[in-house]
Amino acid sequence: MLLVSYDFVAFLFLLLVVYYLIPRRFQWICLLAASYLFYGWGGAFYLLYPVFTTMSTWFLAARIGRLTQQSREKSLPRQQVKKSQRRLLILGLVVNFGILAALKYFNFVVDNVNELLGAAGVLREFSHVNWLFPLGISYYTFQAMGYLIDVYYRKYEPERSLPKLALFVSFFPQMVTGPMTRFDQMRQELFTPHCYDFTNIKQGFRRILWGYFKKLVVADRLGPAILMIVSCPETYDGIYVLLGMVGYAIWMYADFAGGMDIVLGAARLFGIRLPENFEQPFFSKSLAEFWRRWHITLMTWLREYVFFPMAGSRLSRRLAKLMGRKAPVYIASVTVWLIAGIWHGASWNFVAWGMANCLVMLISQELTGLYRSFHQKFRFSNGKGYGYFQIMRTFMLFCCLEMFEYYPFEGVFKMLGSFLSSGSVRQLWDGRFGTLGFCLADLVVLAGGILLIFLADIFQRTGKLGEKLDRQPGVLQYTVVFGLFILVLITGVYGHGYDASQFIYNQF
Amino acid sequence: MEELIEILEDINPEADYHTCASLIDSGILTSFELVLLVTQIQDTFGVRIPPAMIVPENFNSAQAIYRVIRQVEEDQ
Repeated sequence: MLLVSYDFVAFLFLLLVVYYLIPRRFQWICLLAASYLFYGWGGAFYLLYPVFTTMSTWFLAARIGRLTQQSREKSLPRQQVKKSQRRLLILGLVVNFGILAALKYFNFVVDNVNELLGAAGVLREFSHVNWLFPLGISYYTFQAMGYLIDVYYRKYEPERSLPKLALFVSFFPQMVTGPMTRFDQMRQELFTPHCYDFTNIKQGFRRILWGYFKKLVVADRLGPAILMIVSCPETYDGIYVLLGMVGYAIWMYADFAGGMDIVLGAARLFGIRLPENFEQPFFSKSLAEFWRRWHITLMTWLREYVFFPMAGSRLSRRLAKLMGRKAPVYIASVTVWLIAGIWHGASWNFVAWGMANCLVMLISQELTGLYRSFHQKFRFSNGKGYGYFQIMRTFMLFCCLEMFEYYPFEGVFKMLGSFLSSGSVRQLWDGRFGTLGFCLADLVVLAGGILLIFLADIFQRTGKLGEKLDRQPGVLQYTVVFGLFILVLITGVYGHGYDASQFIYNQF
Repeated sequence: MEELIEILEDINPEADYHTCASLIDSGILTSFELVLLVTQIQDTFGVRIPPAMIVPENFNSAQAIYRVIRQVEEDQ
C-alpha cells in the first residue's frame, strides 16, 4: 500500500477507530495485524520476507540471550560463550544481509560479470533474475540486524515474544521508508497501551497534511522536470546544469522529508513517537554536519554498527601501529560510505557518490587544524555573514556531490565544466525551459511551496514548529490546518488518471 | 585524569575539558576524533573500549570518559 493513496487514508481512518475502541492491552496486536495487512496489500507473498527476517532474528537473539544467561550463571566458560554468540551473530548477518544482497545486487553483479566476460572475449552471458522485490527491505533488514547486534553487545535483553519483535520489525508507517529505530527506543512506544488523546490526533493529522503538501504540491510537481534535465545532459547543459542540481536537491528533500512527515504523523495518531529523520539539513555549515541532519537514522545506524566497531577493532589497532593512528578512521570511513552508496542503489553511480562524499569528509577532517586557526585569526569568520556563506557552500557542495547519482562519472566533470564555461541566465529564455512542462501556475505554486518549506525550516531552528503552533489560539491552529488541507486539495498534483509517483526512498 | 585531558587537548585544543559536559552533543568531538580518542586511550591506558560502550553519554565529558576507562579496567 502506498502512503500517497486513497487506500492508505481509508486504512488509517478505519484502523484508528478500531485501535481506540478495542481493550488497550490488544492495541499492539491490532497494530501488528494492520502492519501485515499494509505490507501484504500488494500480494501476500511479499510478507514472506519480513516474516523470515523476524523469525530468524528472534530465534538467534534468543539463543544469544540464553548463552549470556549461562555465562552469568557461570555454567559455561566466558570465552566459549563469546565464540558461540559470535557464530550466531555472523549467521544472522550473513543470512539476512545475504537475502538483501541477492535481491538488490544480483542483477548488478550479473551486468558487471557479463561486461568483464565480453571484454575478455567470452561469448557466454548470464541472464537477469526478476525477483519479487519487497518494498523497504533495506530498512527492516537494517533495523532487525541492529537489534541482533545490540543483543550480542548486551545493550539490552532479547525480546521473548515473537509477535512483539514482529511488530518492531514491521510497524507499518516506518516499514517502507524508515526511520530506522532501535528496539530499546521503541519498546515503550509500541507496547504500552495508549489512551485516546485528541492532541495526538490533531498533531498527527497536521503532520500528515504537511507531508502531503511537500510530496504532492512540491516534489511531484518538480520531479518530472528535474528528471528530464538530468537524464538528457546533451540537451540541458549550461545554466540547466545548475537548475538540475538545485532542483534535484529540493525534489529529494521535499519527497523524502514529506514521506517522513506522513510516517511520523501516522504513528502519532496512535500515540507513538518515532525519531526525527531530518533536522533542517540545508542549514548545515559543513558536510559532516549535513550528514548528521539528513537521513539521521541511517547515518546513526552506520556510525554505531559499522564505523565505531570497525575503527575500534583489534585489526584496526594493528593497522594503526603499522600505518599510523589515523588508518582505522580512514578505513572505517571508506567502508561506511561504500555501504551508504550501495544502500542507495545498485549502480556504480552510487558507489562514486559515496566515495566522493567520503573524500570530501576526509579532506575536511585533515584540514580541521587549518580551519581552527583561520577562525581564531580572522574574527569575521565567527560572524553571521560568514555563517550564511558556510550554509550556501555546504548546500552547493551537496548539490555537486548529488551529480554523481544521476550523471555517469566522467559526465559529472563535463557538465560542471559546461555550466562554468557557458552557463548564462539568458539560456532560460532560449526555448528549452518551455520543454520542461511547467505552466505559469506551476511555477507560482512551486515558488510558494518551496518558500513555505524554507520558512517552516527557519521556524524549526528555534524549536518544533508543531509545538509552537500548539501554543497559538485555537482559531489560528485550525485555520492553518484548514488552509493546508485546501492547499493540498487545490494545488496537489493528482486527479483523474494520475497515479502519485512512489517515494524515491521506497525503492530502498 | 590529567593524562586523559592531555590526550583530549592534543586531539582538539579548543574546549575546556574540565567543565564541558557536551563534547559529543555539541559537536566538539566529531566521530573521527572520537575514534582517535578511543585509539589513544587504548595505547595510553592499555584498555580496549568495546564498541558497545562507544555511545555519546559515555564521551560527553572528561569525567564520563574517565569513568568508562576505570570500568573497562575493572572488567578486564
